[in-house]
Amino acid sequence: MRPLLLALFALSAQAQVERAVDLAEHGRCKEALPILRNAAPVKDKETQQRVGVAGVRCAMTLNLPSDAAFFLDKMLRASPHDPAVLYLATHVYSDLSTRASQELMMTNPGSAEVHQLNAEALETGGDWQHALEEYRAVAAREPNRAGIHFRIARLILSQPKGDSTFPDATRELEAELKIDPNNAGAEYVLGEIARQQEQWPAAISHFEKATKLDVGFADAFTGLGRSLLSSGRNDDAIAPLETAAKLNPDNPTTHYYAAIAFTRAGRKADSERETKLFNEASARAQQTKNDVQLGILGPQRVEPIKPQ
Amino acid sequence: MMCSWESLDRSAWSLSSHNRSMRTLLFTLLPVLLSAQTETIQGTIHLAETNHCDQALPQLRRMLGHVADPHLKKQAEMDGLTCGMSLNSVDDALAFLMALNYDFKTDPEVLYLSAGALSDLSARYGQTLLSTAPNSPDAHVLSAEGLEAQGKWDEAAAEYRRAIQLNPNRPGLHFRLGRMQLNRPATATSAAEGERELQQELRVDPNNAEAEFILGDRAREAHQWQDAAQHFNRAVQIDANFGDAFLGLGMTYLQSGRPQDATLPLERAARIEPNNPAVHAQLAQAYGQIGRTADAQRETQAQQQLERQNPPH
Repeated sequence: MRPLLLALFALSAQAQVERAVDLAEHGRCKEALPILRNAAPVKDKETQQRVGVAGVRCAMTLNLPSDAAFFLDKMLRASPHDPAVLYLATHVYSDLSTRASQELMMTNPGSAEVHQLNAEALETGGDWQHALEEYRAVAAREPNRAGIHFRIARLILSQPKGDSTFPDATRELEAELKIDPNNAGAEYVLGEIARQQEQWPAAISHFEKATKLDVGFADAFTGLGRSLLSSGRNDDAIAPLETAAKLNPDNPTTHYYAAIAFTRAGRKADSERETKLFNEASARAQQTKNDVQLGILGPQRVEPIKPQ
Repeated sequence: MMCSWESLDRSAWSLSSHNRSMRTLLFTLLPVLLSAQTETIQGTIHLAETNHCDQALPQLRRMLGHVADPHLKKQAEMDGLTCGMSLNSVDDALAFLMALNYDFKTDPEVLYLSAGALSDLSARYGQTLLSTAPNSPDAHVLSAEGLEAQGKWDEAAAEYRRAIQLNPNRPGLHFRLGRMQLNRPATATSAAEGERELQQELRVDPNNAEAEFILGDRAREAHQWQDAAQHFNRAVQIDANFGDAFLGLGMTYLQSGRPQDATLPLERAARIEPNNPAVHAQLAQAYGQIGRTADAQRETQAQQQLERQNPPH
């Protein structure tokens, strides 16, 4: 009797899920969503996915972000590498971000946050000049707002370099650190500017500050190690490079400089190990790049040569 | 043992006296307790804001929902979100995001932070897709959408076609290619390919209401009334809340000289999209043509009011 009841229950649960998915697919989300939310777990992967997709779509249609996140979370837990689920997650979060931006613009149209958001959008679109103007407007309006001078510096550095690039960026980064002395990123960029100009003591000082402010900042440890190495302090360079390698073992640059530091310190075995790690990390980085390019652009094919 | 009224009174008094002293003690200690809590919260916030998220996050997680002071609450929740994102703990990030959007729904700082965090999450999942399954149809579609957004139509079309080649029967792929070809600046072949792809989509997925809608709209623009009505009718049968499809159907009837038939779908569109001035304008026209003057005037007023509130650009 019991197995029969269980089978009947499973059948009715399955039928209910099917009905809810059907309702959702026909735009009747208000009726579908409560059923989908409380649906008993289904074993069949395809049905699981259909429930998830229907739930996410309905939640987004009814503007219920927490429900959308709930269904998405279930799907990502069940199939964390499923391309369809990753694609859906990319879209849902992008849509939710757009909605938050629209809400910001509607509820606080004159706020500094709206200008900052606009500046970021212009920056992403490559319209650096207008982005810079927007950032400067925010800085003029709220001179003590953390993060703005850092973004201005970043923008200056991403434009074609001229004589004033480094001094202008340095001025903005120093202004940022006056407002927010805990900005490890600003210290790091100042370190990089100094390193590129071979000002080793300044570079070391900024990188050291960045690593103290953020103990997980792998690139800052690499920068510190490289600068110490370049200034002839080989032994001191080893510890930060080892930390950087632990924090981010996939960065070939760190292994490269660690190998040099070990060679100079006469630690041949360690140097060989780092060289091997450098080669492996470089190959992995190249492979990832190739995979992405191949995925996006497709494989190389033989094509007829056009006449000259 | 007998219990006299007197002893009961005494014990009641002593109980209330005990309560009183407890209360006094509590009132004395309350500021101390509150200030200790405030100090703990401030300490955790300081940890989070000095890049010690690994230590701060577990404490912020425990505090979630237990901080009374609104200023500290907002700061703690914002730091929780930032730390969750920086430690790649999506569960934490989402929990703090929900809390922030519940507690500080229209706060500009919160909305700005939310928009950034959500956009970051989207980018992370996109990158994971491109790096873990670069040859999947989803990766091609994602890359096509990126190219489409940049106006690189031909490259985007090539990407959509690659996705279709990999999985020709997957719902949505023909639709995306078709919609893009119809939206892009026209070439000699784009419109024909666009319509062909939408029709192909309907063979793969007969429940794609948007494909029916776009085909209906194109037929309406070409004055092919019967085709247009068929497509719009199918769209509203698939999606009973598709306001624009009801509007399209109503407009088709109106333009083809059937104002009586137009009223029903237009009334339905007005119920679904009461803030769309175009719906009220069409409805006013339909009522006007069948002699329902009062209804027509009411709809014109509704249209004008909506346009005053949101002037057309």
